[in-house]
Amino acid sequence: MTLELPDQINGFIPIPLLVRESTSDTEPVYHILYAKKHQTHKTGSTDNTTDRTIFITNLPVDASHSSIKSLCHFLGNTILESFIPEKNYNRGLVVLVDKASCSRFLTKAKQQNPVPWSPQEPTGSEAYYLKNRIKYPDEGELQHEVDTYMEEFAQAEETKRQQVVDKLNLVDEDGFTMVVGSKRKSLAGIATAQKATEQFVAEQSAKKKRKKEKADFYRFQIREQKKTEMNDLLRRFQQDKLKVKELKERKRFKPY
Amino acid sequence: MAKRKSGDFSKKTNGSVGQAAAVETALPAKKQKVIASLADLSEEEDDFDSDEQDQDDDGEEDEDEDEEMDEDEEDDEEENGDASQTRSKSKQSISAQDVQIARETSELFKSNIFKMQIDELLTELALSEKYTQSLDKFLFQLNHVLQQSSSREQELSLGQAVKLVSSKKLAIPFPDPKPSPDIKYKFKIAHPESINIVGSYSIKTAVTQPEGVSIDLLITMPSSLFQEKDYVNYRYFHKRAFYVAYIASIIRADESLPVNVSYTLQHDDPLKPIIRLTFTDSKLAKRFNINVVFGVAPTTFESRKLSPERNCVRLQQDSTADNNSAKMLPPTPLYNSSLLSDTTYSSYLEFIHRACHQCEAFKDAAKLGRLWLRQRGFDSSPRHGGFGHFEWCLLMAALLQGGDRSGSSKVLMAGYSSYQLFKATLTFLANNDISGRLGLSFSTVKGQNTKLESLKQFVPQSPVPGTAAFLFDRDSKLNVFYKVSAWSYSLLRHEAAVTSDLLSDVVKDRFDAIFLEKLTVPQLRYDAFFTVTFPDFNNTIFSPLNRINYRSYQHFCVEKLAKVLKFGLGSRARQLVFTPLPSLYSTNASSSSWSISKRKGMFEESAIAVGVILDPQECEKLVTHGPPSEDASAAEKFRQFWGKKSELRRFQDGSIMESVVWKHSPTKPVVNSIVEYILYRHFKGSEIENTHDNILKYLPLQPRFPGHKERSVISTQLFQIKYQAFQQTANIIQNLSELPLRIRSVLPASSSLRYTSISEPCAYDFTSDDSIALGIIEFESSSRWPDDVNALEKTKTAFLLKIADQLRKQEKNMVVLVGVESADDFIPNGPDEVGFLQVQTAQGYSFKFRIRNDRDEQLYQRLNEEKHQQNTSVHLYQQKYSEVTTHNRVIHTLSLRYPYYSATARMLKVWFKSHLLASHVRDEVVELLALKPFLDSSPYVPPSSAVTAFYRVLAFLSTWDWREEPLVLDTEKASDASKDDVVATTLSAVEGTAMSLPFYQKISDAFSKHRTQDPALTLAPMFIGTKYDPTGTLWTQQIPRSEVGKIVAARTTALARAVDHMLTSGHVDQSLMFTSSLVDFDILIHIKNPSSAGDVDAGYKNLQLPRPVEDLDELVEKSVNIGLEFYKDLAKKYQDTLILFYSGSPDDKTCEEQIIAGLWKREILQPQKFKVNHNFSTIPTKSNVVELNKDAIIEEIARIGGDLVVKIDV
Repeated sequence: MTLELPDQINGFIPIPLLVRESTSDTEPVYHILYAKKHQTHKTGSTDNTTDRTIFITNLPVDASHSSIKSLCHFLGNTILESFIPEKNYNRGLVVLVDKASCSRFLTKAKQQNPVPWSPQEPTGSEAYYLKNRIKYPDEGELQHEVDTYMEEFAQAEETKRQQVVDKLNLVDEDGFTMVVGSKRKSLAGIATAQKATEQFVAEQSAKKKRKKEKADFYRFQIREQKKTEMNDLLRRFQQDKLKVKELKERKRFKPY
Repeated sequence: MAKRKSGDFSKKTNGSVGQAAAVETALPAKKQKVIASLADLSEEEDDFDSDEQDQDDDGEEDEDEDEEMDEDEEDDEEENGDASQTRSKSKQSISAQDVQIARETSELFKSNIFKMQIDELLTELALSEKYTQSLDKFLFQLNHVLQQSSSREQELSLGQAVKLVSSKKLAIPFPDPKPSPDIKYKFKIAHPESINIVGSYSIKTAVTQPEGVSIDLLITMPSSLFQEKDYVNYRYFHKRAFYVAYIASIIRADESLPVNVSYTLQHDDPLKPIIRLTFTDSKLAKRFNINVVFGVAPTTFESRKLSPERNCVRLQQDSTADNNSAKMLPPTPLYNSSLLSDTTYSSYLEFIHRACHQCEAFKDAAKLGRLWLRQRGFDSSPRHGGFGHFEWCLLMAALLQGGDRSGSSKVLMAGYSSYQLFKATLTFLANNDISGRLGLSFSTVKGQNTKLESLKQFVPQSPVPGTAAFLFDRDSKLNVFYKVSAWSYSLLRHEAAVTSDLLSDVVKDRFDAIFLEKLTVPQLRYDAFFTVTFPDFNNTIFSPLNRINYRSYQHFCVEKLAKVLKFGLGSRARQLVFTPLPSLYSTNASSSSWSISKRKGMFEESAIAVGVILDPQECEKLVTHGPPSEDASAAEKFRQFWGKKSELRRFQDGSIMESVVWKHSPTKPVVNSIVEYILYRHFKGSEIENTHDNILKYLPLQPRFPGHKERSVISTQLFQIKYQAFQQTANIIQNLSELPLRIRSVLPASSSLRYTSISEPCAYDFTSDDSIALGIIEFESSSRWPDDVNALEKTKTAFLLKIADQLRKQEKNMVVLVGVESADDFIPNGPDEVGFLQVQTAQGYSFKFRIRNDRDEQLYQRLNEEKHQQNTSVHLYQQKYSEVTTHNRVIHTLSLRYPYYSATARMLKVWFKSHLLASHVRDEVVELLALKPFLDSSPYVPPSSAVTAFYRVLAFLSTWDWREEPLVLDTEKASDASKDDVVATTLSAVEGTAMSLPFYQKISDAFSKHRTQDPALTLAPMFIGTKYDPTGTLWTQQIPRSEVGKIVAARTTALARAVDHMLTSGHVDQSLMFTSSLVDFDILIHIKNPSSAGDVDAGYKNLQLPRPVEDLDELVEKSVNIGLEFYKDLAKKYQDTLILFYSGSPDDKTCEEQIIAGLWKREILQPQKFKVNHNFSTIPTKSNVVELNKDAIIEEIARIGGDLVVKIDV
């Protein structure tokens, strides 16, 4: 049986990947990619890759730079510049070296010849072993990496700190100057702190409100109280009644 | 204001313990009046206020104010009902009558809902009138037949009597010993003196029962049948037997009666055959059967001579002895009581009738008591404890006349509600020991009181059956409780105490546990459970005297067994329970009856089931302490009992005592060894079989540990060793000096460090499920921590490197590693990388530490906001860094407090794992579920067996309606010492009845709120509230929301129900319990886990001790669990395609062949329009839509699985 695919679906070209050859008693198995010229919605984008990028969705979970590279090779001998998969999704951008490659890729794709797909190496137990092995890098290197990162981070911090200082000197439209503790390190930190303060204030005022005057001083208060009690009792009674009815409907009172 | 309201309201509905008690004792006198006045209410609503005034005694309010109040009331209602619609509705439904009922029940019953449930239950139990009419018609007909029978008075010799009866093809059901052929006395035929309906049907307390209701029809034999001295030497019983045959012949002769006639024994008493009538009509037969019982006028014999301490059966050589020497003969209380009870029908019927008349709620309370007893396996037949509906009614009737020492103050008041009668009766049973020195004596004579008094003069010197507990009738000299044995009386008090405590629980509704749950499933009820086959019948043991004092050989064996087990187990056993074997246990009325053409039925049981409720602190002790050596006679008795096993030992405190020392076994509780020995020594020829399931075989033992054969089944020794190793490491880390910041604490955060990992830990072992245990290093707070998550994590890594550096310098024998891992597996969408410190201690234990500090949570919170996710990162942070240490502390404390908890939790984990659910039910959730039988043990006391506890958890899971109810666990209460004060106020060891109301309220409120936020159950189907997690969803929450939780929860319930069904039906197949059916899955990926160390049990090939790991490559190879890694990878990659379930073996790595099972997500199975964001593999169909490309997905899985995948079944 040959695979019958529509020429396009929602503007996407379906590309069959042959993931299992047919045998005497089994049909071949195809995985379908959907490819389309990339269109960015960002206006005035300075990105000059747009016109040589192909957007592919329904990528196999084992799509990698090398497997996409061989895909490109198969489709019009195009050369892959970069493959940008979207994290946790089955789609990604395939950036080719030039605009012409891009058109060649899509033209070839339209022929819908099954593309061979080879697994990413390593697979299986080796892959999972390696994944765990690399958790233990050389400690010298790790130390170096951490040190470098921290240095860069310190510089970035300093920039942010400068922003805070700048903000400090601003007088806002109501004529207030923001006061920030010397330990605040970034604007984000200030935002969080502000939020926390607001919450605190809200809580405090709510607490204050709750602080009640003597509740059983006047007789009307006592009466009120009794009535609320009674009403509570009745409300409870009604609730209980409903509950029991519900239990009964669920055939609960069968002891045997 | 809001707070106060709820407090007040709770008092109203529930009352505190003290209050409730006060209400109950103070009310009676006042109560009648209250009801009366409340009744007025229903006529005129306005009176309501003045009533309240009466009650409150403040007398401040006057008429004017009443008016004011009415106005207020209206305002109030306007406020309450927002829409006018609801207002009118509420006005309609809250009638004055409701007000009355609501107020009344809040005082007379535990709470409104309790009363309503009682009402519903009683309705459910009521006999259908449709059938009682047919029954009444029949009874009328039967009465007519008996009255009309030609009754020419006749005197017959034994020979004539036998001949007459056998001519009608009947046998005389003579009890043993049969009358000897040379007896002189005559048998008589005479018209019955009277025919009456007695028993529960007559007082209208009969309830529907699955096996049908037995109606007692009393035939009072004329006194003229008997002579004054007929009470001795079975003469009465022989004459009675003839009369029974005579009546049976009349009934059988009348063909118009639609019944089958057979003989049966009244309450298994071999002296008292009765006639059992079963209906030929199947509809009636299902519902009723009739017992024709036989009595005699109370004046027939001199009751004084049948008092329990008297002898009425002269053994052969004394048969001519006169009354005086009779006093010297051994008492025959069972015989005497058996006879006396035939003389008391009319007086007791009248006594109970009077009680019903005097006390309106008596009948309802009788029904409640009846059901309560039944659910606990009690009834009037001695095989089931000898305490049933009749004994309950008589006790209540007696307690209405007094019940204290002086007899002046009454335990039950006429004005009590059914609930109050029920509760007070139970409390009386629990609080008063009427088993010997004191007994309860009563009289059926009007105006006579009931009192607790010494009945020593009636109790024989050495205990004989019939004198275990005393409800003594002063007039007839009958001990009403003569059928109650010592063990059943003790069990009864135990159950009464537990239920009293449940009734005093002001926080949780315990209705189900008290009335609806059946407590007789042995696997759930007992901690140890055996079947004992009696030695063959033996004339030398079962001597003539024994034949009088015991009902049967079986009765004799049980009593003897009870005696030796009680002595031998001592404080280890709280209760011993003897029940007919499940296969023979049948309440089906026809099972014990026999044809009227035969003298005797054939149902001597040759075996009995023994259930033991153990004391958790005592039962696993290795030494049975005897008396000190100075006490010669006691020591001799002890030596006699234990034989060679007993030896003199000196103890640490210097005392020298006789004692017996036992051995621990990894598979057998100490109690089992003791019972086996006792039977071997004292019950020659008996056989014992441990019928409680040995599920411990499903729990892997650590075979690598030397000396594992002498550890207790519940030993946590190996866990302790690892825990200590952790603490040592923690101390070393904490005391490192050259760090820029101080370490506040180093805390354990791993299942093996709270004694709940499936495998027991062992040094250098990487095959266990928690071999590298996690710990958290908490640094003190400092402003110098960076303000950015990634920088923060990097800083932590820097710290870890410093710690590692110092550790290496300081601890030469410690292997120290620092690593970083992608946070993807750990906190998805969190920081990029997380560092860790891994150490292997000198003893060979591995720990993995991560760092936390005060700022973390805030930064993770910010991460949520930046990435617009719903609290996922911060939630995961809490799970993995902060709350996990609290959880660890709580569980660790509790596993020390409850010695059986650890094994239970581990077994439960195995269960979840065997059913492929472990991948979706967090360890913490399983650990909390396993706490249920310990922290909230109702209706039992906390288990002293891991197997029992395991079953109880499953029984709970089978009934837990997680959609509607939260699980509330009072984790702190049980662990703090102030708990012991609470114990003092409860009557039993039941746990969980004294939860604090505000705590419970808080959790309930959180649950209601949670349900409104998660109506589709996509967040957290199961809600488990604890002190440290009042949100209830810390561990059960799904991140992100999905349908999976609901599927897993539903499957858990279904699987638990299957087990529960096995238990209640009595066919337990353990292997089935731990084998999951795979038919429900869409796809099965069979994998070969290369991390497996092979089956440890098979061939013991790995029994050599593990050795230290040499290099890093080998360490990774040994410690990684590739099967699990593969599952995790697939689960992540196919999160929108498949729901995957993973089963390893219990510890994942001992089993090579494993399965990853999957279900296609339901919502993607239909062909649908192409969308760019379909995150699952599709293929276009002809009609320009796409459908799931299953074949390609399976290929893909096979591709990435590589060498792991053996085959994939679809």
